[in-house]
Amino acid sequence: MRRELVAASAEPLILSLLEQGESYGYAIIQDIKNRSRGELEWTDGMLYPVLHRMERKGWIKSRWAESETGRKRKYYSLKEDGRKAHKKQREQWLKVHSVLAGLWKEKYV
Amino acid sequence: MFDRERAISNWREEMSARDLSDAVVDELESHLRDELEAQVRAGVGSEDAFTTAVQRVGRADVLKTEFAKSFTLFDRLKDAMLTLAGIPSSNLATNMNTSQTEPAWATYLKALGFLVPAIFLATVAAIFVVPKLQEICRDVQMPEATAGTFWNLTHSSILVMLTLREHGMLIAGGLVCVVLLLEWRLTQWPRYRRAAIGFGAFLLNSIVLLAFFMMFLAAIMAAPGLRLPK
Repeated sequence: MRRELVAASAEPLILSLLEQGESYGYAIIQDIKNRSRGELEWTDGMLYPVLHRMERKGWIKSRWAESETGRKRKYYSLKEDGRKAHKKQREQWLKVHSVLAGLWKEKYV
Repeated sequence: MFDRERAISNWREEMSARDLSDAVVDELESHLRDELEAQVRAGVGSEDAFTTAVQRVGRADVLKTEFAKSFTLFDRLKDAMLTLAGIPSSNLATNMNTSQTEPAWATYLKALGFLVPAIFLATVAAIFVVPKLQEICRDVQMPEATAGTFWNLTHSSILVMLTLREHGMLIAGGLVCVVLLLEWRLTQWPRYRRAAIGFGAFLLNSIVLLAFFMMFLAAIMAAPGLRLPK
């Protein structure tokens, strides 16, 4: 998949995942890998600069907590501004999607 | 025998050596351990699992660059300057939509907001400061040594101030007319509006700043003369 597309989709993917509830880096990556059936390849570490940037923007917040295995993990969850950003990005992606879908439909009818 | 804890602590040292903060390395370590456990559960040998996990987390220098993106003071200043001049910053993500235009009123309002302090200062200077400065310079009879490029520059900045005082309204009116004409006649104008207005505001502010700096220098140079009895 194109590098630019992967980069551009990182934020909306993370926002959409966190919309479903609190999560941590490793789980976010596994979830995205599974959902895309391995098509969306991220260098695992690259997720963290994005998460930290989103936290600085005030979209998400984080806390260290003990996991079920007894190790410490950093959990991220959505803030109100993050919900707004998610809604906005969702609309934009849907718009792009609907234009593309419309065009492709015309082509194959 | 592969010592997992030792390998992890070596890896941590490598990461820290690249200036990644402890908090970041802690988080990456937690990720590394999750990945290790998952692979060992899947039946991969512990040494191979470690090599793969380290690769997946990524190289410290690449991560460092990504973490540092746009958060250094220089980058932020550069972004701010470019934004003021109406040039979109490409630092954060590839800009795929360069034709995005903001509404005209927003451009003009921003430019005005950016210019009002400078206009106010220039007016105050032209009315109160420049006459006083001229008087001082005349009284002191600036020595010959100060003649030359520097003094010419100071002199011309004072002249700019005087011109502004005399014809300020006329110049402002002229500029407004030019902009109105551009809005009215030039169909290409909206594309360049933001960049042109932004650059113009930036230029005007710079001129006012330079004039102030020059007047300040002139005052400093004239100051010693004031103390000498005539």
